[in-house]
Amino acid sequence: MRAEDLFEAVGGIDDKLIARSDRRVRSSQEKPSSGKAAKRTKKRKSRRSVGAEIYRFTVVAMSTAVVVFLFLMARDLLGIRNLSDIRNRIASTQESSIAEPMQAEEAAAEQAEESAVMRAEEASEKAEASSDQRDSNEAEAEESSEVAENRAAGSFFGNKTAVDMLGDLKGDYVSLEIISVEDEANGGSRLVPEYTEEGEKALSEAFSKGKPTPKVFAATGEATYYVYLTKKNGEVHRAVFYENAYVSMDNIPGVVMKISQADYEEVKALFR
Amino acid sequence: MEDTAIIDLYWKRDEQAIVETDQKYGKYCHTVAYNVLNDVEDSRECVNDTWLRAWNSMPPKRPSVLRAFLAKITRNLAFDRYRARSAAKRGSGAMEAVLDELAECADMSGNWNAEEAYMAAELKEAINRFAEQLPARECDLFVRRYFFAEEIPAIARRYQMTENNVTVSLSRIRKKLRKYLKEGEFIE
Repeated sequence: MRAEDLFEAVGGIDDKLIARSDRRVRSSQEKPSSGKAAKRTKKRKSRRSVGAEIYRFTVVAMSTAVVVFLFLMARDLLGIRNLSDIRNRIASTQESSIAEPMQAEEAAAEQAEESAVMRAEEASEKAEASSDQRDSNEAEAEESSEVAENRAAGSFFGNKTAVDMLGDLKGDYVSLEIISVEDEANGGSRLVPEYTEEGEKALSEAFSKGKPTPKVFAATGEATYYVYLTKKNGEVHRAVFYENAYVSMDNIPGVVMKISQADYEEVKALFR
Repeated sequence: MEDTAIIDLYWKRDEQAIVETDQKYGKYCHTVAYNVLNDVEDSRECVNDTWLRAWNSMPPKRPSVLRAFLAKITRNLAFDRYRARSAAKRGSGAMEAVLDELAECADMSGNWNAEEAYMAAELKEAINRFAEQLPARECDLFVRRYFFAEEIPAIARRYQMTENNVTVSLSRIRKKLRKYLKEGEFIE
């Protein structure tokens, strides 16, 4: 076959292909010759401009979505900073938790002493009370000072709780309840864990070592425990503990906290 | 005048048909012929031959696209004239380059026999199928270059491409064509 044969064969191309090629060339070069053609061109152009509008709109929408996504991601990152703030506050809470009980104990002791002195004075003023009665008064005074001490200690520990260690501010929450996912599904009741120093220490350490992670990157496993935290205003927040040691707060979207598996096991032991 | 009206004139054997055709498509056919022949006089004669061929073809033919029908006649006539002329001297212009390019897809060693009409018809059919399956822009480039034998700068201007871009695209199309012809056993 020669190039001339091929060229001749190309001459057999369908009229429609030739016309199509011509049409495309003309539409970009020539002005429409008749009113009908002008209308057709106008229609084609408007169709093209509608397409351009759609394209422009799509681009704007997509870039807006990207900006919003980045903004949300940035917010998540800021959320990490907030959580580290909380961690700092937790640390300061720990410090104050050492100072505050001491103050409370001192106040309670003073109060008990005062009441004992008052009663002793009253007893001496009443003149000639029996030595048995005096003994019993002193015993009462001692007893009341003990009660006061206990009450003071009880109210402090009762308010403090391990809630603070769960990553929120001291005093924001007034109660903490725990329930396993299984129990909740079976309609079981929530438990209020007893405060223990070991518990506080375990939670404190677990959360101070925990790393906040954007939820999208965290492969959360199966939820094992729900921790319900009630605020002063009655609002209830739920923390979810996952078996792979992630903890998420329903009221802090997009962020989960990753604690070590060992810490998680220790914390889990507190819930039993 | 609309194409259908012009065709009707041909069918009525009204000589006004040729006047109208010349008015509407004279320049166009002249360009088609000039791309191949690169000579004004030859092109003019070729266009006149086109009107005669059209007059003899209609009726019985009633082309669906008059413009393409006339372009095809002009191109074929121009190429015949080119071949007759090239026996004496090689012309200049795009045609030489076009044939050189197409030579890449042709195969001299094949058992091709241009004398056998059925083979030529089959090749035409194959080329047509090939052009149809090309993407729109590539098809346009193929038609502009190998049907209308347009110069590469002219094609680049038409489609707002760089000359280099057109050359590269055409080279890719030729590669595809060669592969296609090989698969169809037109070449070895």
